[in-house]
Amino acid sequence: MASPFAKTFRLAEPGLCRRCAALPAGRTFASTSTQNPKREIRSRPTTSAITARIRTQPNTVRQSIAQHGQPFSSSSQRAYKTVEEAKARSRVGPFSWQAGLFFLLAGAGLTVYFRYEKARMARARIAEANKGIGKPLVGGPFHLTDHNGSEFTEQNLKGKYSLVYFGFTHCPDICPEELDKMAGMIDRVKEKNGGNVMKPVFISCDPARDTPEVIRRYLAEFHPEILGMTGSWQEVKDVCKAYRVYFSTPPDVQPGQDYLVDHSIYFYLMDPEGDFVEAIGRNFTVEAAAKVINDHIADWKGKIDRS
Amino acid sequence: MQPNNMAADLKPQDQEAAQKPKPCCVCKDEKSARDECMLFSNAPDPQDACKNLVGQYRSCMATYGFKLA
Repeated sequence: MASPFAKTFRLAEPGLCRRCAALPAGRTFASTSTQNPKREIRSRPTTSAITARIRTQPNTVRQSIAQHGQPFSSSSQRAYKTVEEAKARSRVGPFSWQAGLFFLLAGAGLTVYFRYEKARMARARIAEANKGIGKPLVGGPFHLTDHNGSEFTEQNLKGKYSLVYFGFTHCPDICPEELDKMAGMIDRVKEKNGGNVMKPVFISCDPARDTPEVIRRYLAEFHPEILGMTGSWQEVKDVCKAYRVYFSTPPDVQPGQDYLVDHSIYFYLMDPEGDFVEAIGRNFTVEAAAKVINDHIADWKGKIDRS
Repeated sequence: MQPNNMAADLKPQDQEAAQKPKPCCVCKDEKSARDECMLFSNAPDPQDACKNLVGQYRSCMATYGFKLA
């Protein structure tokens, strides 16, 4: 390149339009001077043509035609008469304030859009992954008795989202704390989605001491909607296995025997098809957990039974 | 010599209660390791598959005097 134009070349480079940049490199204007006009349009334009193109095309094309009789002339006669003129043009270049403002707005808009999409995709991936391999195989058939005395199976969970928590009524600290959180989550979900989209469930890991009546009275202190349930030792063991909950209650306890009931502490969110969505651990606050649930409910494309 | 008021009776008991750890709140690392292992296990019996972590948790609890079945 001729050195007077080297500076303009550097300024113009960043503003190189996509089409110009995509054109095959290699052939300069000088070399195409001998070829016919059709071919030279396809070759990579030089500095002057770049700066010329950056301005509104028709103007420079017209100018060029007026000066040389054809667009983007290959001769040394450029669109600008002097070096100063070329420099002046390229100094303004593509960077007018309107372009800058548009760039910022477009950038901001795209950032917001991408963040939203990324979050949505992450949630979709979590929800979908659990339907395939490689994610927790939580859920499955079970048979229990709810705190009203009726039978309850995994079929009763279908149709709505459900939030399952395993605990026991003699738990001194953790279960009350987690059940308070659960009540908070239920209320927030109701607030956002209207009633009856999510069924909260409490499954007792202590069948010997937690009869349906005991559970009913216990849960009444936290939230009226939580449905408690229990079963025989084997039934509870089976549901814990299906939900991958650690279960340590001994099978045949004598009345008055003291034993520790230990269990995993997660809230298990199940979707209306009865499939596992996500396990919400103790590190989530009520707001964070409610947000996770609300986001999944918002993402759900199927029907939710609101009865 | 302790003053003859209600606070005197409370103090020793409080100290005792504070020092004695509760089963909920000890061995938390072992507990979460065990829970995570079970949650993500693909085996048909996750409690069995994560036996070593369960065992570690049990021994940890035993050091506090809590016996787990």
